[in-house]
Amino acid sequence: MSNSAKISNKDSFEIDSNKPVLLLGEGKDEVNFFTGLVTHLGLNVSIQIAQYAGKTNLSVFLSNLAAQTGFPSLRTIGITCDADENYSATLESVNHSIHHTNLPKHIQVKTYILPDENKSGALEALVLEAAKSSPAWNCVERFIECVAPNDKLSLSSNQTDKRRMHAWLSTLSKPELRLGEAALKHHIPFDHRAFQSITDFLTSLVPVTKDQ
Amino acid sequence: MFDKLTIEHFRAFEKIEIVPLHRVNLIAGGNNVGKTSVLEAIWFALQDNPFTSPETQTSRAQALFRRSSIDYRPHTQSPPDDIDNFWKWLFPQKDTSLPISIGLSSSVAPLNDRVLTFRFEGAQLHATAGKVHSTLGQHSSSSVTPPVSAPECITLATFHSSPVVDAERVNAVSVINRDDELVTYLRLIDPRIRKLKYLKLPGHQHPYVYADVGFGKDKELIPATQLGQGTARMLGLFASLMTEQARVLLIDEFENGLQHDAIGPIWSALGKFARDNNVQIFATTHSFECIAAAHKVFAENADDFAVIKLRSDPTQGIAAFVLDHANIDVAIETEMEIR
Repeated sequence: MSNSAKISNKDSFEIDSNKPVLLLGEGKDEVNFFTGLVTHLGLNVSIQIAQYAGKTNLSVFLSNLAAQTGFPSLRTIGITCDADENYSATLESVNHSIHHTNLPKHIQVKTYILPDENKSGALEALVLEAAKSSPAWNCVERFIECVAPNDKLSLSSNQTDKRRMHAWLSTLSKPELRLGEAALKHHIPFDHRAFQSITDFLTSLVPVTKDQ
Repeated sequence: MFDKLTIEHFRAFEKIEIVPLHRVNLIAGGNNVGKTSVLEAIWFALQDNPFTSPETQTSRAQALFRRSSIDYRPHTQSPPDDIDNFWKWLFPQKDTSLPISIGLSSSVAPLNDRVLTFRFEGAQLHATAGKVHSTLGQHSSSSVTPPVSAPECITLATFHSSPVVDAERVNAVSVINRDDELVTYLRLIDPRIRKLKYLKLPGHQHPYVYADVGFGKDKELIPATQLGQGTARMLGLFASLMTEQARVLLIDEFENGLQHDAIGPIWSALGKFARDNNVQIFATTHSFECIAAAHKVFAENADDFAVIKLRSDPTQGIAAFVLDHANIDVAIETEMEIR
């Protein structure tokens, strides 16, 4: 989106100094998705969520954080990022952005590359793993098989996952929802084992209190 | 052009360093974080002798930046050199045990570096101000009063001048034969303007400025006060900058009294003026629209512009962060609060 189009900043992101953890996603859909998951896990008291507008902007976004009023109260930053085609390269890129930023030492930074360790793909791959248990899954696969011969361009596995995601989302009771919106409206089965690893990551971001 | 500002023990600042400075610096941050204090610090640092005329200096500083602050009453009972009611307030929490130090420096032209210090010795306040001889590492003393019209003299846009004053300024611009240039800058804000005239009409007590905007069949002149509010404001400002040959411009609360759609053209005009005349601008803002408009205007000259975001924290005090073009781009894209 062009900057000129965004003339209003009414819903701007500000660091909440009452929440010691900042979880970062690549875009708005990720923010909505993780808001749904974090709320489902009851971690929203400690975790706030923001987007960094894509991998290439991560380093600048992190440097911008320091100018935020609530920044000194942050204790942990959790960065999520889609592996896309190459898990290792993505991890290296994220680590480079972190080191380039010179965040203060009191802030712990943890990284989670989606969909899971050493796997290529994106957030969609993670959700699709859970969606396979849904009654409509066979219909989704049949749809994919049906349209594949008509593809003029060969889709990457990531793109195919996105196609599957749209097809599956369209089977929900509110077929117009995007993935993040579906998560916010409790349509994603967050208790599925597919989300165990990301759940463990999110839980690890929250400091353990003495009475826990 | 200065590229570094340091402020120590001044107003709410314990110690702050702002680097790099740009040609246009837009100071943002929450309420009472110290935005206006930065302008005030720069203003003091640029005075060759802060005590040259205490009445003038304190009145100007207070009237222009802090009209409703503390109980200083420039035109009533309080004497203008009232230490308790004015000068001690320049120190953090009125704690005068440590000296105030304000420095402006330029890596390109270090001989123009400025340093101002205020310190108390007993009940007496002493100031040292002026250029720094960087090779000697000493400050020149202000015991000999230099002329007030130093090249670094500044103009303050918060000053709401009268149409009469503006008329005299425009006339002064005509005297130095720069009126066409003035029109060129104003046309970036209001393209209708063709010519400005300084006229005393029959029956009027004072001369005023009139503008030819191609109005009507007879190209009737209209009073400059009838131009848009932004245009009228910039008329006096540009004329003042041109006649005083100011090198630094301070603007408190840039967006005050301006329609949102006027802000972009005003930045365009100010930016061109600043580049053409080697002027450096420091302005404060509360407005995201003001930041976004400046960011857009300066996209083609991205190195000319930065936002200085002040951040206040109970434990860490006030810190300054310089956000350049890339920073602002991402802040806008991620809808991050940068005011």
